[in-house]
This record gives sequence, structure tokens and C-alpha cells, in this order.
Amino acid sequence: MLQMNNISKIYRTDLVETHALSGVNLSVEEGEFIAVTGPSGSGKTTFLNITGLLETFEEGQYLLDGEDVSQLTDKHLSKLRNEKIGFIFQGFNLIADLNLYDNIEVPLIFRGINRQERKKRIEESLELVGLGSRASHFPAQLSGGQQQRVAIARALAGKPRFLLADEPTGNLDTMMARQVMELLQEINRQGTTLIMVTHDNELAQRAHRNIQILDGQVSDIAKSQLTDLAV
Amino acid sequence: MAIKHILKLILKHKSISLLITLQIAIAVTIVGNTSFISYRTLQNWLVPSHIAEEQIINVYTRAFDKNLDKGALIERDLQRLKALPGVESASYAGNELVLATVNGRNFAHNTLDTDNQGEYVALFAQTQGGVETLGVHISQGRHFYDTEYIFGAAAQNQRASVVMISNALAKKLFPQQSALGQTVYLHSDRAPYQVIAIYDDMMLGETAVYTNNWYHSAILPEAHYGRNSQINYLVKVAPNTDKTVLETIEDLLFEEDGRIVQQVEFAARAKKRLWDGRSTFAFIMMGISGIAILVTGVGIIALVSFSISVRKKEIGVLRALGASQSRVMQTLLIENSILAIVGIILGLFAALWLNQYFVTNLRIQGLIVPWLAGLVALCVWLLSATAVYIPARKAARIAPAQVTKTS
Repeated sequence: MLQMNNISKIYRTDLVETHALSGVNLSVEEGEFIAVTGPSGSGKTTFLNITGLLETFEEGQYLLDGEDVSQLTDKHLSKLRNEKIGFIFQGFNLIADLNLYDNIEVPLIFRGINRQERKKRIEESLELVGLGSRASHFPAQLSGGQQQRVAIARALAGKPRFLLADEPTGNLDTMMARQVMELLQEINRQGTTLIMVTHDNELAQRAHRNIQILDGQVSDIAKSQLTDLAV
Repeated sequence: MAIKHILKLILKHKSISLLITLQIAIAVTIVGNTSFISYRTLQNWLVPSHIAEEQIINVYTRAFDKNLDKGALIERDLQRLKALPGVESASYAGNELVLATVNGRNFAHNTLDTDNQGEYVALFAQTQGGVETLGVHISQGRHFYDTEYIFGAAAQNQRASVVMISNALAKKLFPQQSALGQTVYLHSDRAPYQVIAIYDDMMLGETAVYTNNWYHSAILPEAHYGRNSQINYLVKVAPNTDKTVLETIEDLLFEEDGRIVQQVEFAARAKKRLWDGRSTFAFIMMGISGIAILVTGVGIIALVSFSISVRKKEIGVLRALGASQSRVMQTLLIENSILAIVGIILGLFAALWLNQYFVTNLRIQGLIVPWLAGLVALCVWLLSATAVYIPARKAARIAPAQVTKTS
């Protein structure tokens, strides 16, 4: 479903070149739950941005459902992000001035889904994350864990090919973190592919497959090799 | 983002939205009125005068010597004026000069009923040669007979019995029938005159023009002197006569003791002066409009830039969720257009009110022109869209990767 061949990303300033990613090869199959770990500055965020089509790259090939995304226009990339990827961010990234219903509705409107279908999907996804009765609330009226669940509902409503989670529990306390994590695992069990970037090895243990990024290089590692790399 | 979401966001950011709306409303108010006034002024400028502006000369003199025999002076002057090279005809003007009202307003009535206010009319009280000097073209009726001319001191209060009127005035006074042979009542005492001729429309009177009665005029074969110290003449020179003729006339009249020559000018000069006042007001309004447009444009750029900087994160989120650059721009343009439309509607109402004020209190001509109001609305919307384009382009460039930055 997702295939990266020899991807490299270089950040250039006048003085230095930083090789954020060099020669990344990765293949992700449908239904997988992959945890990407690595210390700060290792290239995790760059990997996340490129996987999520939030950033472009210099070299290599990235096939998403067999489609090469390296030469696509902004418009096409935006469409792919909207249709194929469900984002879950550390900082939730809900739009504070819109209520939960509207927050989930916005990306569905981008896709041109009709009103009836939107309503159905929004209600279903809110129900799934246990916030069915809070559709008219605003993000600020919810706890952190609840806000993250809304973000998950927003990602799921689009019926994406995979969920891309960036430290989904980073801003949550232990209790809420566990709830959110269990929800994500449950969604994965129902068939949605999940790629999670985290520096928390304990969370990474829950994944089917573990990938480590070190100095821009990506490699599969066994769970037993997971060490505390967090800085 | 759907319109309802944009509306919700507008309502959330009340102060910025209100400021943008207000700026647009003020711009529409000012630019709207400027357009109305300028348009009317331009329209007035373009009304053809049908007079030989560069051939008719207005001569204003004053006799300050009370013992002067004015009647004899006038006859002498006319003889000498007519003898000048290049002069085709000359006449004593007992009342108005061309496009220069010297003696208040005049009205023409078709009835003795004092409730009837009558029509503004440029009243030309001339001696022989007046009709030729004005260049009147008679379309119906006849010329004055020499015996119909009355010339004498005002105190004698002799009246002529006939009058020529312009086609426009004839139609206004006698819409249902031919004006020929009808009686027209003139002066404050409503003296009766029989219409003996109707001539093609000419723009002759200042007050009449000022009241938009461009072509209302009448010519009387009666010229009184001595009502005041004024002794004025109309002179017609050959086409393409040099400006030096004005000086020649001035020098000639200056030779007589006991009076001063106030002014000698072509009708074209009088016409220009007539429009200058209105043009000045239009130009001032244009200046204010320019400032209003600049302030609005820069204001919108600044306000939208600020509002975008506040919403940078939010725009990044929208980008990540699948909003393309063009969609971000489109959303901001729609948002601005909603504010612009509200501003424009408010502005049009304010413009209406300001226009009412100008027309009633400053006697400015410039009534609302609906299509022009529409054009102003469109232009102001374009202005706001152009202004918002600059910060919106910046907003569209906000990278979607913004969202993965840890704050």
C-alpha cells in the first residue's frame, strides 16, 4: 500500500546542509500497525511530514497505492492528503472557533461529500470515539483526551487508507493516554492501517512492527531491541 | 470550508471583521458620492451649448458719473464697436449676458396665476442687432420689426409687446399646442408678451443652466438703461478672431470718461467659469476618494495580514487536512467578500444619506445614478479582493508541515 524507495531529504541553509533523511526504504502493508521511534533530531518529524505528504523530498520514490507522488502538484497532494491520510497530531490541531461537528465536517467538505453523507459519517465517528452527544461543543470545553478523540474521529470520518499519528498521547496524562491508545489499537484491529511516530518505547511495544530512525536512516528493529532512546 | 464555517469564523473574529466592514462602508460612501457628483459634472460639461462660444463677447462696464447721458453713450459705444475690424454685430444688453446672469433670476409664466412658479428663463433684453449677435436661428415665426424695439431709460417703464422664445421653453410652457401667438408673462410684474418666434435651443443663461434648464431662454426687443450703473454689451466677432480683440474693445470703451470697463471676455470664458465651481467640488471629492481608497486598501492588507498571522496554525491545519493553496486563497477571498458585501450595503445607505445632505444643504448637483452605484460597489469589491489577495497569497504559502511543529 505504501512503498518508499531510497528517499532522501536535505535541508539547506547558506552555511550547512542537513541530511534529515538519507536513503529511506520502507514498505507498509494494509492493516499493519507500525511504530516509528527515534530520538529527537533523528528525522522522525521529517519522516512523518514526507509520509503524510506535508513536505516534498529531493530524491527517491514514494508510491502511495501504486501512485508515484514525487512529481505531484500542490493541488493533487492536497487531494491525496484529504482522501487517503487521517492525521492525528500531538497538539490535536482542532479549529478552536468551530464546534466538534464542524471540525469533523471541514475535511469532508474539501472532498465534496454531500451533506447527508457527511452527517452520517460525523455522527458515526463521534459515536465511535464516545463523544456522540458532544457534537455542538467547542474544543475548549473538552479535556485533552477528549480533544484527541475528536481528532481521531475527524481522521476516521474521511475513511482514510491509513492513519498517521504524531505522538498522539504526548500531551495527555497516563490515564487518558491509555484510553486513546486503546482506541487506536481497536481501530487498527478493525482493519485501518496505523503508522505512529513516537519517542515513547512503551507505546511502541504495542505495535506489530517497529521501525527506528537514527541519523536519517530507517531500519526495522525487534521489540526486544527497543531501548529508551528518548531525549 | 463551507460558507457557514466562514460565517462562524467571521462572527468569532468580531473586531477585525467589523473594522474591515467599516472601512469598506466608508470607502463606498465617499467614492459613491464622488462618482455621482463627478458624473453629473461631466454630464453637464458635455451638454452642447450651440452657441458660438469663441465669437460672442460679453462686455461689462459701469458708469460711475451720475450726470452721464447714458442713452447717448450707449448709442456712441455701439456705433464705435460695430466699426471695429472683425466685429460682425453688437448690441446693448439690458439684462443678462451670455452665460453670465447679472440681474438675478428670471421666470417665464404661461398664466397670471401667482401660485404658478414659472420656468427659469435666461432673459435677453436687447437693442437692434441682439438677435444676430446671439446667433439665434429662428425655426418658426418671424424676426422683430424695427418698430417693435423699445430703448429708453428704465424710469420710463416702456415695454415691448413681443418676445422670441427658445424651443425648449416653448415646449415647457405650452406642451399641448404651438407657442406661436401665445402670451408669455415676464418680469416680477408679469407683463404680457406675445410669442412671435421660436428659435433653436441655445445655452444662454447662467441661472437657467445652474438649475439644469439648459436651453430656457427668451429674447425681448426692449432694452432699458439707468436701472443701475451697469452698461453691458454683447459683441459678435468673425470666426477665428484673435484674442487681442478683447483688448481693442477694452481700450476703445476706456476712452470715454465717467465709466470703467470691468471685463471683456469671450462666452467660452464665462462658460468655463460657470462650471469651475462644480468641478472644484468634484475634484476635492476625488482627492478625498483617492485617500479613502488608499486607506481602505492598505487597511485591508494590514487587517487581513494580522488576522492571518493570528490564524497561521489554523491555516496550516486546513492545509494538512487537504486544503490546497488555491482553496485557502479562495476561502480568504470569500470571507473578505462577505465582509465587503456587508460593507458595501452599509456604505450605499450612508452614501444615500450623504448625497441627500449635499443636495439639500450644499446645493450640489449629483443625484444617485443607480448604475454608477452598482459600478462603485463592484470596484470597491475588486479593491478589497485585490487588497486581500496579497496577504492571502502569503497565507496559501503556509506549509502544511506547520502542524507537526511542536509548539
